[in-house]
Amino acid sequence: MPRFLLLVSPDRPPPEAASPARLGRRASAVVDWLDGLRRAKRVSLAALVEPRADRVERDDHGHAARVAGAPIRLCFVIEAPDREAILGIAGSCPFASPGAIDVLQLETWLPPSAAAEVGFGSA
Amino acid sequence: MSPEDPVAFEDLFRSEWGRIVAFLTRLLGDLDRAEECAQEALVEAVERWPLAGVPENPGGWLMTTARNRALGHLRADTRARGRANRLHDHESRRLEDTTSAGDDEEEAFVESDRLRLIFTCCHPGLPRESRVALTLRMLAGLTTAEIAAAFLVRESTAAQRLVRAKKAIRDRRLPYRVPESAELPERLPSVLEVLYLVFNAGYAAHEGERLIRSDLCEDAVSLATFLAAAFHEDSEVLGLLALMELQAARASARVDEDGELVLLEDQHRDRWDRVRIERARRVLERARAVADPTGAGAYLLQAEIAACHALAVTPETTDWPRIATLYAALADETGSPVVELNRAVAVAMIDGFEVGLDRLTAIEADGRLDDYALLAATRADFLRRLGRLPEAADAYRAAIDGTTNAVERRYLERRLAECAPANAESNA
Repeated sequence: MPRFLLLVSPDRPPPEAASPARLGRRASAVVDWLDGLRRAKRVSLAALVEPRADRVERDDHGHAARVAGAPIRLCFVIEAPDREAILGIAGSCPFASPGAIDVLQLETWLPPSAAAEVGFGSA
Repeated sequence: MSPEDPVAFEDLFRSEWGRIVAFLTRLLGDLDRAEECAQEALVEAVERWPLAGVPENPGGWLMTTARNRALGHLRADTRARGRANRLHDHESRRLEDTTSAGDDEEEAFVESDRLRLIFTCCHPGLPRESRVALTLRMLAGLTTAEIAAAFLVRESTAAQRLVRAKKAIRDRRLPYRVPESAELPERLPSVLEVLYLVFNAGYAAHEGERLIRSDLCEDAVSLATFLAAAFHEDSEVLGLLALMELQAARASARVDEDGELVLLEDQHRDRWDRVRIERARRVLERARAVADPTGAGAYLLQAEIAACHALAVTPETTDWPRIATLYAALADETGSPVVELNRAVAVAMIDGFEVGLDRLTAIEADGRLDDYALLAATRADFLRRLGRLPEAADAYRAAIDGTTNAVERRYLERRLAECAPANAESNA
């Protein structure tokens, strides 16, 4: 089954617009969403990402410049039968409610043990 | 706490919010920053806990995370760096003291912060509307939109009240502390008034489809319970808590399965929350024991009236003479025409509805309840019970015109239909 990388960038609500009750309901929704995927054995990776992202940009002369990257907070690798199905899963993700999710299909996926065998893990 | 429990997060976040904001307000000296950091901690939990698991002490985790965020913000602010270091040292020492002192004392530190915040939000130097809005925001965590909806004002108006209240606290340097004993007679009534307004906004929602907003009621009960623990020798604090508990005990019976209004005499009394009534009865006993022997205050009197209803096994066994006497004392205490209206009902139940109508005429002549729909609704009810149906229909129409709550309106329309079936259809 195809695997997709989901990069989740939640919006931070202004304090006056998100009550503790609403955030609590969102936490419950997130747990339900993730549990559903886990029970279906669809999740290969789930990670919380440090909110600070640096992006290194290099020019033709090899000079590198550091700029701020996209504010990604979570990333998942999730199996889905096709792009429509994964877009449905992303669209129901309460982590980004509000927020944005980048959805990318992985062409190759090596679990850690397989990556080590072909030399990816030797460093 | 289990992440499988669907309501656990909401309950936890709601209950921890006021404690965290109170603690951070003392740490930062800034209400806006305090709620910002408290919210960051909750957002962090929403993102982290589903993946990493819920910590063993979720409340402690939220408090520590919020505190670290606050100190982080202070350090990042170069102008406040000196203050941050001082605060950090101070806090570190205090936290060390707290750790060695044990959980009970740590809890006491946090709880006294919460008390400070209540008194600051309810400072009598702030306009009443601002006090209510600020209490709901800082202690119960309601959003500006939710506060606006609860008090039937535009969101911009509610936002303005919050901004002005915070500015007034800053500009006038209102102290962040629990008042001294000598100040309490002036300061405590303001707190009780705010809690009472919050409860009533939940218990008798004046607009919209719902008759009861139980979340507001529970916020008010929670704050009153907390206050009663701190002021357990004050009969008015205890009276207010007992009153809220008694009203909340009957709340679920006030509407039927279809969400329609059910009057007290028609309510299924087995749907009343007996555990809550018993709890209220014990609080009421304590309030009586510590009350001023020269006379009970307004909240204690209202709790006594609510207890007469809650303890009556059937509508017929209601002690109306005692209720009328209590309303008379309450009228003396408050001078409120709404109390006189309720007193008229009690008198009508004893002496008959003709006598009740005379009382209503006197209240109408006073003029202060000209726009109060329940006055017309009460007149309509008395006239209907006397069989004077055309007059009752007119009074029901007047009551319907003045009612903005959809549930109350439908109830009145049903009654109107009983009095004037043909006219009711065109009015509905």
